[in-house]
Amino acid sequence: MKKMTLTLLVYLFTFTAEAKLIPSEILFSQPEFSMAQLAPSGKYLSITEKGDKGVKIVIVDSKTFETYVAASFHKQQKLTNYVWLNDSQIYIQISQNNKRFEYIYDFTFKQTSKENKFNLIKNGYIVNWLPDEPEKVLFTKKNNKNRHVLYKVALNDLKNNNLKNAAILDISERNIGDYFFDVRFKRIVTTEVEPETNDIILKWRPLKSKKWQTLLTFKDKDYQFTPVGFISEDLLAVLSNKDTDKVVLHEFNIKTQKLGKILFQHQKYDLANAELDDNGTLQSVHYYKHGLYTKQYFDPQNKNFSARLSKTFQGKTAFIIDSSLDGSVNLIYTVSSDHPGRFLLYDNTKDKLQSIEYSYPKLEDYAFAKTEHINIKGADGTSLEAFLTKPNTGSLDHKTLLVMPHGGPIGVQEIDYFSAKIQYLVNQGFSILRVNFRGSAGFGKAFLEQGVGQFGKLIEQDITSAVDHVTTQYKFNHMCSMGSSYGGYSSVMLAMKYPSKYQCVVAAYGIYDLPLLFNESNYRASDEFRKNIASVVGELNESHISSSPVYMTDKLQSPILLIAGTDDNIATIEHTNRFNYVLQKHNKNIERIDYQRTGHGHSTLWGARHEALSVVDFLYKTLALPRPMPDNLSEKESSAVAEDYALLADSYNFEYRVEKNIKKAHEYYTSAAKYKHSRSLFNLGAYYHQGNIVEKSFAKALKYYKESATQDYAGAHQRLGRLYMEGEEVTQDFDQAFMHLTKAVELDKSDENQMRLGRFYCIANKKYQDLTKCIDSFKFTDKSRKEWKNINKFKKVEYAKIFTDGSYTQKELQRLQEMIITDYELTNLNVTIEVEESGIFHFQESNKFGESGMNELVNDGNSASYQKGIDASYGLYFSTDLPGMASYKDNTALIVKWSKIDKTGSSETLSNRILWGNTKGSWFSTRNITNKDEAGNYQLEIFDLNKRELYQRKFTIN
Amino acid sequence: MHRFISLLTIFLINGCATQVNSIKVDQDKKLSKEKGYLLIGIETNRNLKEIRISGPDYISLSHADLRLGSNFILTDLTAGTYTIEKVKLDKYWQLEIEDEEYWTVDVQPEKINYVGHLHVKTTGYWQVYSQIELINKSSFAVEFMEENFPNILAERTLNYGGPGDDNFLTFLTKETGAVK
Repeated sequence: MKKMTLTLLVYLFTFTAEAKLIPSEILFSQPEFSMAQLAPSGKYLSITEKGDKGVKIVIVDSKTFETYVAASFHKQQKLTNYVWLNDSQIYIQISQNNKRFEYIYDFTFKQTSKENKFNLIKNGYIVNWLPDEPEKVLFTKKNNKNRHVLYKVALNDLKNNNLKNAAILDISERNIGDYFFDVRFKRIVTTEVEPETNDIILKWRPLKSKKWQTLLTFKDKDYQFTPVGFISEDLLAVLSNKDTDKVVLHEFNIKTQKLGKILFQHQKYDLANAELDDNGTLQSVHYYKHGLYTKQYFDPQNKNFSARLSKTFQGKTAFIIDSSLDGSVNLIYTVSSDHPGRFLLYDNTKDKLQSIEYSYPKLEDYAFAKTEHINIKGADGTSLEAFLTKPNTGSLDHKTLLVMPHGGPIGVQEIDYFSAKIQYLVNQGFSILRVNFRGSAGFGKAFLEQGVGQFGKLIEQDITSAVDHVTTQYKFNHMCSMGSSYGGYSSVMLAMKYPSKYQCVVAAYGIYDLPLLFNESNYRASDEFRKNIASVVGELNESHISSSPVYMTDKLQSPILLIAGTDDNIATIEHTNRFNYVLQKHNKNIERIDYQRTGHGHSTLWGARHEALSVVDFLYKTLALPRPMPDNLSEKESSAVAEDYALLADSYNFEYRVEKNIKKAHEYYTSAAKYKHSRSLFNLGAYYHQGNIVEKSFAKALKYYKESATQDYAGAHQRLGRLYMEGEEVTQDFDQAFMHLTKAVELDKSDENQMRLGRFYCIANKKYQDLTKCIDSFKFTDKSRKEWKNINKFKKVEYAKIFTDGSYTQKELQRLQEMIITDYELTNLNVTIEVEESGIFHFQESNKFGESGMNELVNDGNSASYQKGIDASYGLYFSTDLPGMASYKDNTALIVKWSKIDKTGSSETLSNRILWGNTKGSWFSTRNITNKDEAGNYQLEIFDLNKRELYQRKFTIN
Repeated sequence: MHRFISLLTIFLINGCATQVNSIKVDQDKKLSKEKGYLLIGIETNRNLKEIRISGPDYISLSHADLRLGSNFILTDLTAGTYTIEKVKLDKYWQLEIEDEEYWTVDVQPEKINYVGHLHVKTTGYWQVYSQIELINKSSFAVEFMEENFPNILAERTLNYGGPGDDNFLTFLTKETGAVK
C-alpha cells in the first residue's frame, strides 16, 4: 500500500472553516447524505440524499464517480432500509402511513428513472441472499394458517410474487419472530419467545436439514450475553460479563450451552462488539476508549490499515462501513466531536481514497468545537472519565460552564461524538462538562453497581470532582447545571448541595420525588414494578425523602428552568408539577415549559431545536449575558438569530407543542424584530393593530407593517394594500393599495395574494378598475381538495367584499354575479329570508350520550353579557326561499356582514362573507361571546347578490 | 405500565348504580360523619358513556362529566373502600376490570379523597384496543381544588386515597400549609 497517497489525497479536501454563529435550523436537521452502501461487486456505491421534496437514492460509479439518481421518494414515504441484491437490483423497505412496503427495484445505471421498476413484494420479507445461488434469496411470509413459511425463490419470480417454483424450506409450527441466515455455515437461525417464561430462544438448523437445534436461550438475567458469530460448527463467540467484571469475548459451546475460554478482555473497558472473519477467526474487538468507538485489530494487515486511517484522519474516528465481496473497494466513514461526518471511497487496488459526500454539506462552512477528554480521580481515588467542550478561540465565549450530568443514571455512557445540542450551546458561547460518573456503562460491573442507590450522593460527588478539576484548569465567571431525565434530577441536586457554585439550573424530564417512583399509578405500585425501581434507586426508605428535590425546595437558591413532556411515561409530568408547585409556594424563581404530545424527550428535531433555543434564552436572561447584537453580526448570522426567536414566538403564538402564551410570543417577536425579521415585524404590527397583549395603536401597527414591507415581507404588503384599498384607519389610497398588492403578488404568488389583488381590480377607482382581471384572479385549476378548502375560506370573504364595497353598473354587477353563479353552481339569486330565531343563544349539551348539543334561544332581545362557564352567542337562525317550487338542486347565496358600531355611530367591519347552499338547508349567522372585552354594539346585515339589504339587527353586549 | 383490558360487547345493561354528577358549586356540604368527598381525575381520548364504582355506595359517573380531554369529578359519598369496576366506552363496548386489586381506592370520612386520574386511551374503530391506568397526579388535584373549590378545600383535609402509599399531600399539609 502506498502510504503517502492516502495521506495526501485527504489533505486536498481539507479547508479552514470560520468561527461564526451556526444557524440552528441546519444544525438540528436530518443529514443531507446518509445510508451509504456498496454493491456486492463494488462497481457502484449508493447514498441517500435528502432534499426539500423527499429522499433520493443516488448511485455513484466507483471507477468514474459518475452519479445517477436511481429512485426518488416523496416526503410521506420514509425510506427505512435498502440492500443491494446485485448490480441492477436493490431491495427497498419503505414506511408510509404506518404501513411497511417492500420492493425489489430493477434499474439500469444512467437509465431514466421512469424506465426502472418498483416490484412490490406482498406480505413477506427477504431473509438473506444465498452465496452459492446468487439469483436466489431466502424469503419468508405467513400462510393462511398464520404460520411462517420459509422459501428459497428466484429473484425474478419473487418480484412477480410468484412462489409456485419456490422451494419450501420450512413451515414453522412455532411462533417465530424472525428468520436469519448464517452465510458461512449455511445455517438458518430463528428467534422465538417462550410464552410462559418470556425467555427468548434461538434455534438453528442446516439449510438442507429439517432438524432444529437450540442455539441459545436468553433468560432475564442480570448479566450481559450477546452472540457475535460462529467460531466453528459447535462454538459461538459471545460477549458476556457473567463471570467477569468487564464485558469480555468468550467462546460458547452450543452443545453444552456453557461459556468457554475468554478470547479477549480489555483491562479498563467493556467490549461493545467484535468481528470474526469467514473462518471464524477473531478480527477485531470494539470498545469505547475515551468516549471514542475504538476497533482493535489483530490481523497485521488490518492493524496497519487502521493505523494509517488514524494517522490520516487525526482526531477523528474512521471506519470501514462496507466492502465489496472481493474486498477491493471499501466505504469509509469519518466522524468526530467537531465534525458531523463524511463518506469516502477507498480503492484497495490503487490505494486511492476519494471523498464522496459530507453528511451535512451546509455545515462545512462552520468551525465546531473539539471535545477534550479528561481523566480525573473521584473523592475516593476512583478513576473517572469526563469531557469538556469549550468555545473555539476567537468565538463567542461567556466563560460559563454548563455541568451536564447524563441520564440513566445506571448503564448510560457519555461518548465523544458530534452532537447538535452540544455544538449549538458551545457555539452560543457556553462550555459543557460531561462526566462518566459511577453507574455509567462501559467500565465494568463494579463501576456500574457503585452508582446504584447513589441518587444525590456518590454520583453528584463524582461530578463535583470533575467540576473541581476543570475549574482549577480554566476560569469561568458563571456555572449552571443542566440535564435530562436523571440528569435533570442531578442538576437540581448539584445546585441544592453546592448553592454557591451554581447560578442557574435547567432540569428537563426529571424525577424530583423518589418515593413517587414507587407510587406512580395502580400498576406502577405493584410489587414487581417496585422491585425494578429499587434495583436503580435502592429499596424505598426514609432517605429517599431527603434525596428528593420536592421535599427540600428551600435549599434551591438559583433560578430554574423546568422542562417536561406531557406524555412522559418515564419521568411523569407529576414529578415536574409537584416540584414546580412547592417551588412556587416558596416563591422561587421558576420558568417552565411543558411540551405537549411529548414523552421522555423529543422525537422530532424541531422539538430538540426549540428546547435548545429556550435553554439558551433562559441562560442569557438569567445570567444577564450580553447578546450578540445585529451590528456585530453578519447578515447571515443576524438572520439565524432572528429565525431562532421567530421559531420560539411562533410556537407560543400558534400553540405548537407548547401552551398558547401571547405574552411570550410578543416578547420573542420583539426580539426577532430587533434582528429585522420581516414576519415578526409584521406580527408585532398585527398585535398593535388588534390591541392584542399591547395597547391598541394603529400608528405603531402601521410603523411595523411598513418596516416589515421594507424587508420584503409579502404579508405586510398584502395587509398594507388592504388597508389602503378599504381605507381602514388610513385615507383610502388606490395608488398605495395597488403598489402594495402588486408587490405582495410579486413576492409571493399565493392564491390569497392573487385574490386580494383581484378584489382590488373590482372595487378600485376607474384608474385601476378592470373586471376581467378581477374575475380571472378567482379562477383556479389543478388544485387539490385541501387547497380548495383553503382557497374557499379566503374566497368567500373576498367575494363578499367585492359586492359590498364596490360600485358597479348593472352590466358589471351581472358579470360579477355570473362569476359567483359559476363558481358555486347557483341556480337563483332572487332569494328572500324568513327569521326563525333571533337573539341570544346558549349552547346546551345533549342529555343523551353520543348526541351533539345545540344552540338554544334563551332571549329574543338585543342585549346579553359575558358569563363565565356559559357558551353564549348572539345572531340569527333563518330560512331562505326562492321564487317558485325550490328543490334540493336549487342553490343560492347571500352576503352576511357583522360590524362593530362605536359611540360616534361609525362602524368597523368585523366579518364579511358569502353564505351559499340550497334552501332546504339550515342557515344561520351567530357570534360567540367569549370574554368580557367583547362589550360593545354590534350589527348584523344580510344582503343578496343584487346588493339589496334583506335583514338588519343590532345587538348590545355588556 | 398500561395494561390491555379485554373489551366485551354489552347486550344487557344491568344496574342499580346511583348516577352522580360532579359538584359545581364551591360550598362545603355539611357531611355526616360517615361521609367524605371523592375526587377523581379523568383523562380520556374519547367521550365515555359511564364509569361504575362499587363500594359502600354503588355509583355511576355519567357521560356529562366524562367528555374527551381532562376533567375532575368531585362528589360526596359514604366513606369506605371502593373499586372501579367498569368503564363503558359507548353503547356497545365496555372495559371490564378483571384485576380488581389494582383498582381499589379509599374514601376516608370528612376528607376530600383524591384517588387518582383514570387514564383511558382507545384506538381502532371496528376492533377497539384500550389502555387504562389509574395515575397519581396529586399535585394537579391540589391545583384543581385551589382554583375551583377553594372554600371546600379550606374546610377539609385533602387526602390521597389512590393506589400505593404516597405522602405528598400529607407533606403539603405539614410543610407548606398549602392544603389543610
